[in-house]
Amino acid sequence: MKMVAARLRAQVVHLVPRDRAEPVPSLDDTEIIAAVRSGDPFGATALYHRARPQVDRTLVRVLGGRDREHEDFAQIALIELVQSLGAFRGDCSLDTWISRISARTVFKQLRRRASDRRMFDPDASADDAVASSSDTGRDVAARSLSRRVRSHLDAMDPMKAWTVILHDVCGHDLREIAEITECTVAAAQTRLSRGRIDLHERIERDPELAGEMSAREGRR
Amino acid sequence: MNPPHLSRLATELLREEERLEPPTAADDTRAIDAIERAIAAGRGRRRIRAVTSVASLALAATVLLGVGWRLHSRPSPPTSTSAPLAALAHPLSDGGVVVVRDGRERSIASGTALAPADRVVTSATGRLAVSLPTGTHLVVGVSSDFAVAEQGLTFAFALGAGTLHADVARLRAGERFLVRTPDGEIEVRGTSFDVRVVDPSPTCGAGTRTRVVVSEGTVVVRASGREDSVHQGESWPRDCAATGAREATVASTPSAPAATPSAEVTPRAQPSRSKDPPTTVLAAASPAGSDLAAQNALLADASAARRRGDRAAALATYDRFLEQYPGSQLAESAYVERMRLLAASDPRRGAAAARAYLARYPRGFASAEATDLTADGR
Repeated sequence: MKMVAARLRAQVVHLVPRDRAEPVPSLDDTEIIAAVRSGDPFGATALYHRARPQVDRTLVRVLGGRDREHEDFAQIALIELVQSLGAFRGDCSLDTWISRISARTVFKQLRRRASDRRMFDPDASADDAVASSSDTGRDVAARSLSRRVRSHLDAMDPMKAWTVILHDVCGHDLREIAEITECTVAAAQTRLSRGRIDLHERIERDPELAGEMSAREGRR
Repeated sequence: MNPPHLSRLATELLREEERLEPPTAADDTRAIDAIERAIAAGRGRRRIRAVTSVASLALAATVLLGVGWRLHSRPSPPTSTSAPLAALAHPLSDGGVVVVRDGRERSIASGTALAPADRVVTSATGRLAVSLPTGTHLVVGVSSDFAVAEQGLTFAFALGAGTLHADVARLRAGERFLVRTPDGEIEVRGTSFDVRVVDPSPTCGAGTRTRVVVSEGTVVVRASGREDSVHQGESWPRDCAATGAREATVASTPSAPAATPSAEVTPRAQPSRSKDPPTTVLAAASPAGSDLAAQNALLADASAARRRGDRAAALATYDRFLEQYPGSQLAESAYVERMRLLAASDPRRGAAAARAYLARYPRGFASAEATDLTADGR
């Protein structure tokens, strides 16, 4: 443990003239976890660069690509990650753990703010319609389709929508979903099954979206 | 269990989404700072646990050796284990709150430990937050008469008049949380609810003076020999929907129009026990609905001001929210946003805001951040 801390400090000292947000030379997961668990603040930068991409990936899959509160959620998820690393036993990959903690954080935060905002940020959805200069036509079209799919998910029972996203988009298994959404595995399975059917039927009733999605599949 | 075709296509589409705006260097720095603070806070907690363990071992050794020191000369609390279980009081107003202890009225300072039999009386402008070591927090509203009945595994409080908002942390095995009113008793298991003692109405709950609204979880209300479970979104008595809208919300501030039903709150009235059992007709709707819309609108205004960089307007709006809705489910977010805004411009005021937040939410979601801000402000 002391060796890891010393190595971290040496690397951080090496980094002093550079921007502190630049990546730390590679540490393996065990070393990062050891540093955080031992309370070594020098592990913060290493953990950030290790975890941030996975946190972002999870948040985007859950909330879409331009949620206005993305940064807030990311920061809260990273703090939760620090607090939960003591319980990490290595029975899944660190990426899976980070994704699970991030999803659980967003779930808790959105539930806490249930009366304050919807699952998907409507302002962000409006922004999605605006193309940036680097966008290709395909990017804009895909984003438009995603926005419409999310609008259907937003109209569904939130727990069913959550379960579909966590399982089919984020890749969590039913046991993990049960843990994240604080329900039984059987309830998660029921929500998944019904949620998928609900989503399918809603898109089916939106022939333009259904047609565009099928055409998109055909082009692949 | 294969997903239907369109559902599968939809989720494949969402899996391919990418973030459109990567974090800025400032975002990176802020997040790394937050992680450092969380790591430091974790280290602090471990240190406290270690000190506690050493202290416990030392105490056990002392007992085993038979050293007959009397560690506490005061009759109450009698043992060292009772001290950490005290409820701590934090006035939310300048004055207007007194504690009556041993028959004498005393002013109350932030962090005052409340003891069993302590009675707290708030004036028409006074409000008080009470934090328990379990993470539960209470807000005693204006014109209220509140007393500590029991502390320990069972926390029991008496509300003789006025209003009380309770956010109850999940209870562990053997723990209980109760609020007694003049004609009823409310027992909870990890929930959020409002209690108000009002003038009896013959058309409501057979004249009971107790009103309960549950915003989260379930509570059990016992009154006149009957027991009713009241679930999330429900109110009790169940046949008071018409009057419930005015009575239920514990926005217990003198400036909030919805929170000053002066004709209904009777701080000086003597308790009277209802003879008739409450009816069990289900309430038609949550009486707090319109209030919640107003809360959301106010918070949306504050967020909009914050986003456009109008710090003064944002602060003023958060202050107005906390003044009008101190017991709201959304109050914690308002406290945190206010704290962050102040900390960004004035560390001392930020630290003061952080202390106020910690007093109310000792285990809140931003407690680590607040702890660090209190240190920054020194």
